[in-house]
Amino acid sequence: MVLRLVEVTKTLGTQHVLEGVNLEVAPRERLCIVGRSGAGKSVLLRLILGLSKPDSGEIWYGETNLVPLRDRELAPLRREMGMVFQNGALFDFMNVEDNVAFALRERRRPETEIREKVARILERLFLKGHEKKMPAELSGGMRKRVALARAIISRPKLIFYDEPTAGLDPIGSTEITDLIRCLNEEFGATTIVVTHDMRSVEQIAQQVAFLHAGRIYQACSAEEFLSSKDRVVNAFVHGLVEEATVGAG
Amino acid sequence: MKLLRHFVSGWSGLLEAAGAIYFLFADVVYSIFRYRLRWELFLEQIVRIGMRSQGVVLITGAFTGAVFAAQTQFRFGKFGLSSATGPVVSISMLRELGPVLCALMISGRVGSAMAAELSTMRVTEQIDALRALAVDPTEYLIVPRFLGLLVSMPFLVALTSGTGILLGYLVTTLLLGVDPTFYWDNTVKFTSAKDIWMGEIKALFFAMIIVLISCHRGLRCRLSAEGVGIAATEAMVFSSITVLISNFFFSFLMNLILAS
Repeated sequence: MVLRLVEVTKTLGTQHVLEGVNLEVAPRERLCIVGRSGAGKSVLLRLILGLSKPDSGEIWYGETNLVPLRDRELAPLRREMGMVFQNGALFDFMNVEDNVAFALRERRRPETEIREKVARILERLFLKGHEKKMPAELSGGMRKRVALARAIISRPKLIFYDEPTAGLDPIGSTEITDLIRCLNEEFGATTIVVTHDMRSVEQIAQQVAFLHAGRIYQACSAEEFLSSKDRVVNAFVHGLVEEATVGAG
Repeated sequence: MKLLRHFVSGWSGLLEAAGAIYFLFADVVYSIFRYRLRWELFLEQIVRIGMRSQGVVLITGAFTGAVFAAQTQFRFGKFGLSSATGPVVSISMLRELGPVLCALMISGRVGSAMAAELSTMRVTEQIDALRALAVDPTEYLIVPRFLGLLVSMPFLVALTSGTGILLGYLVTTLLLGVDPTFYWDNTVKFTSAKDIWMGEIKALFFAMIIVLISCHRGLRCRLSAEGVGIAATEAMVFSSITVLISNFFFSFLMNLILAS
């Protein structure tokens, strides 16, 4: 397993967001973590990346438990990971080209190699011609693609996507999900996508982990999840308000 | 009971902030020695903090010196103490007014901008993005600002004090009729290198206070647009108050040290 979570708990203020999450992710897998808004999906992602610490539990990346590590000790491991934030989180003081090149410059790669890789990836993500634009000049879909380019340019082994299709129109959403799937097949990186968009799940996921009431309620293949007869899962998949509320209660 | 609770929570908040600022300072010092300096970012901060603040501190120093010299001469002149006007203006400007007023202007202009910038980066997850890309935010964001202000501040204080003394001289001699040679001779005679050092050492301490408080407020802001505004305001207010209070203790301490 490339990633293993054992009894992870997290409380934010007085709210118990995660109450013992157990999860295993196999290498090269495309996993979608789904759940209702506020279920703790993004919190879970932040815990895996070490951006915040769990109250208890273990998060294993390969043979390393990430929980006791400090930020500086996590840095070498983070170089093997990529993260696409919900709103892109592009550096607003850099243009597209510099944003994408950032990870490589930090690794002190030669400038010729950086330019070549950036040009190639921008072309691959349909961003050619937008190199000199600032993030504020980009549309939502373009920002996501730039964020995607920045995350994958250093060829991480593990890529996280936080709500990659949120706020996009159906075409932009399909473009992004296609890219996620293609990049996973092309680079072979383990892909973890947090979403509540069922279309994205259908298009991306091999495995699905359904986060409900602070725990992984169901972890199974995408087909099993989408055709599940379980009341709570079924309510979530088909957006049945009453059932979902009963399930949540 | 409610009052007591407010008092206790106020003090515990203050102590917590002081502790966090101390750890931020330790982190900055560690980062300065641990990582290579990012020259490009450091020079950018010198331009933003040092060069672009020159106009503000120049005006502050000049008009403070001018009005201070005029008021001193109005009173001292009546008692035939015009010889003291020059030294009083220059010592006051070098030791107290120059460093403090410059620090107040910088905390308003630079400190609040730093806090707003960092808090916006926090709200828009850019700081998390840095961490996710294995870059230490202290090293990338705070160290260049810290060193930038540390290098710029002594020059800015010198500029404030210098223009204050110069305009004081011009006002006293050209407008109030004091003999220029007499004024300047007395100024030079009673002003020592110690006075300049005191101002410059204060400048370094004030620079640290402004950067650390402003960056701390920026990094700890609430995750909302309102949080950004609050962080900018608090950075300015807290660093100004800390400058004013610490100046009192610095002055006493440095008088003791430099007197010997």
